[in-house]
Amino acid sequence: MKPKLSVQQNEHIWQLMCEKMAGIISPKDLRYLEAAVPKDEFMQEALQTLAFALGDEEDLDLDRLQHDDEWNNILHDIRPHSPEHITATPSFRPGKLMAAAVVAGLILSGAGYYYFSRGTAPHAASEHVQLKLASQRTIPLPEHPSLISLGDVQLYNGAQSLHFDAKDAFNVSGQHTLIVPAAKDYKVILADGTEIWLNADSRLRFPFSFNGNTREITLLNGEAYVKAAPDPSKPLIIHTPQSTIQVLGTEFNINAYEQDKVKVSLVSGAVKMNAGQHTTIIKPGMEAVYTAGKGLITQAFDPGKVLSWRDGKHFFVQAPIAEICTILGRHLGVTAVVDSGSPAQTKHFSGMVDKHEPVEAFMEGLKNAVNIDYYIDDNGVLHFR
Amino acid sequence: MKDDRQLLRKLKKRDPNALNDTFKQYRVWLLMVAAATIPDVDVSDKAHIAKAKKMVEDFFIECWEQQLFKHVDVPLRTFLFRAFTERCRKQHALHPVIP
Repeated sequence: MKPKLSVQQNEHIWQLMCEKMAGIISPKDLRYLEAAVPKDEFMQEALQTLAFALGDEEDLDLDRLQHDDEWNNILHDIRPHSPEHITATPSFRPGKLMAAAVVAGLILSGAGYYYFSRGTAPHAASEHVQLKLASQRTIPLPEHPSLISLGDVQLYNGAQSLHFDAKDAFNVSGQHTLIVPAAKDYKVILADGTEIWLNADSRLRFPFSFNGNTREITLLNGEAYVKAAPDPSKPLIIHTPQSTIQVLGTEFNINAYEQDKVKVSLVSGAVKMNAGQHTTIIKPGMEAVYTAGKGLITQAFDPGKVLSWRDGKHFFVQAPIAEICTILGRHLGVTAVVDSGSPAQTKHFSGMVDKHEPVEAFMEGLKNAVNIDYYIDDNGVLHFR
Repeated sequence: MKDDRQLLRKLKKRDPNALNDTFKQYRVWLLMVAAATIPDVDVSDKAHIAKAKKMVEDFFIECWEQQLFKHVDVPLRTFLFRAFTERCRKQHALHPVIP
């Protein structure tokens, strides 16, 4: 794993970045900043965004901002003598403080650089990945890098990943839920270094710190690829609605998209899975499929197909049209319906959806292969004709 | 540019000119810290800039009136940065801007 900077170091670097922006950084600090930044992926990204914002920004005119007559004369606003008199009136200048409170925010944000560039995002309509805290507060995790301070915990939101630092592990408690919407995917690095890639339309519950004898997290729904950090003294246990998976330093995929089914595909290491009344140990190259009411089977799997979602490719085999509609919604964010009387209703399909291609590319392929026509209506809904 | 250590020494002695010098030297920097710290601040919006300027002014006035420079034992910039961002956090807790 890449070396992580401490919360204090990060705060100091953030300070120096702002000094650099304002042109007041000392040569010594500038050298330190330039040496420290390459150590941290997030900081690198933030600094690049900063360089871009400053190089291309006419609104941010430092000379104009520094200009005297735009600022109040601070000497007129202070009472230079008899400070004792001031402490006797604690509620000074309420008007000014209230105004300040209105604009004050919590987020210490690399995203701030972004706000310098051009106001709001052009694609603001698309849904963000979100973190719902145990306190029920929801934190958006936008696609530009940001640093979010939550009291004892600092969150580092990279372009498509999240990691965090807890100042005092025992001060932070509760289970938080990471919510990945349709057409997105996202990676989170847990307190122990375990990496979890979440596919579109997935929810993962996890704590900021593993304080007990086990490391327990829950995949509430969706699909996850897990690269577990080994720690024999604290087994990693992953719950899904239908099963419990115990992990020993290993890489595997969990698919829990369907309510009554869970599929665990093991790449390396060993995994013990409990589902219903059944228990099985999965070996590398094999997957266990549990279907409620039907039981547990193990079979070989094709890593090229099962794991390819991390590259944006989603394979399906002999899938009915309803499943195709679900896949288009989940991975491309396109609502698809089947018009009554369409020949698609009785057909089964095998193939692949690539989330980096427009939906038209997929549909044209389908049209050529199985002669099923389509159109997109005024509301952007795709119809199989 | 004035030397931080000298400024801090004078601030501890409650020299108002040192406050004015510090304010002039660091107000644009803290304005940026405010703009970068607070979500939804748009630097091309004059009203946003005006509010952020007021925050910086209020911050210096508060430091002076509550004699916050007296016990500073870190470099001046570090103190200004920490106290200013801390102030943002506290005020946010009372009047959250984001949901």
